[in-house]
Amino acid sequence: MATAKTNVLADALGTPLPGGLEGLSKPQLEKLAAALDSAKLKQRAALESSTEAALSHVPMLLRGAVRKVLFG
Amino acid sequence: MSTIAARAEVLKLTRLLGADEKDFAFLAEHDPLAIRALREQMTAQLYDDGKALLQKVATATKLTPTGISAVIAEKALGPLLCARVASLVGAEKAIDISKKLSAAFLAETCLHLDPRRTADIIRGTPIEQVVAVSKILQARKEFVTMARFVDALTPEAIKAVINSTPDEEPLLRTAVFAENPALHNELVSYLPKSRLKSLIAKATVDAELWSAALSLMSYLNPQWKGELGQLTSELDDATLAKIIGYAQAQQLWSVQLPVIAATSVAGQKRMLANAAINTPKVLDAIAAAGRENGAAAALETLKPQMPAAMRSHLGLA
Repeated sequence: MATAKTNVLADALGTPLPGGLEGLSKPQLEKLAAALDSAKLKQRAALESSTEAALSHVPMLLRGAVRKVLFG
Repeated sequence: MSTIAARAEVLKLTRLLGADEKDFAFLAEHDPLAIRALREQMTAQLYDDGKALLQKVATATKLTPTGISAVIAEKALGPLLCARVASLVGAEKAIDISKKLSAAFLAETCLHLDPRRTADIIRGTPIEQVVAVSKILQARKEFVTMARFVDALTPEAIKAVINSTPDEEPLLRTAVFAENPALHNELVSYLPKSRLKSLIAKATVDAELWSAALSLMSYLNPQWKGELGQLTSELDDATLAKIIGYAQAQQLWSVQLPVIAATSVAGQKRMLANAAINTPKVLDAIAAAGRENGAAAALETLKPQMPAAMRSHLGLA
């Protein structure tokens, strides 16, 4: 049963949970998995919005090269 | 003792996730090392997620003059992304950029930075900048964050932070959360005796601080444990009674007894003669710690210094 319980967070991590966390309940594991997912989404959103904003601070002469690195 | 360590680990984990510590208080019931291992797994996930774009930002940073990179860091990227990109930029460039960043921005970035991935950058940061950032983190009571960096900083930087911190309380609160307990002896050795005395005195102010001090002492080698234990035994009787009360209320005898046992014979006698420790309730708790928590060796050391009634109550006569 422990394996089934740990799946949701272990799946999100892509690796088995560290020993010592076997006592976590299913809702607790789901909460942790959701928090990890939310942190990833926030990070992605911040990364996408800030790279565009960053370009505005790059001198015109370099902007083309930097844009190419960032966006291909 | 694990409660402090577990709470610290929960705080570090929720900081990583940008979540509220209270929502994950249930984790504090678990082994702090397991929570730390979970945090390391999650850190790896977050560093891997979006790595392609983070790598592109790092490459673009290398193309951009340092001054402009610093402006972009503060005005566009922000502390979270700077923390993620830092290890990908290369230590030399990252250090050059960080020299142009404000201490306030660097302090905010420290909250998100993984010191294990950025140790070269941290070690290469000018000491005066480390001190400036530590002052901001102290003012914000970010002791857990400061503790994460202890392992990565050079001894010179740690000494500079200690010397620039007149109050021992933030030092104690930071040291107790340091992730590598082997460093505790080194940290204590940086403090002159007068400051160690002051640290012990500050720690007696409340139960939480005393618990932190005991947690720190539990990791010390016999020499330093004895040194701090001795300073404790030299406190006045009323303060000793207060400490005994903290140990009793928080069931800290398995940690407190070895510290008493590490002091001089005179120090041991003084602690054991205090009226507060010679009550049936406290003696029962001490006996239980001896039976259940591996404090038996400490009790054996203390036995010759115990008042006869105490020896008898503990069944050591």
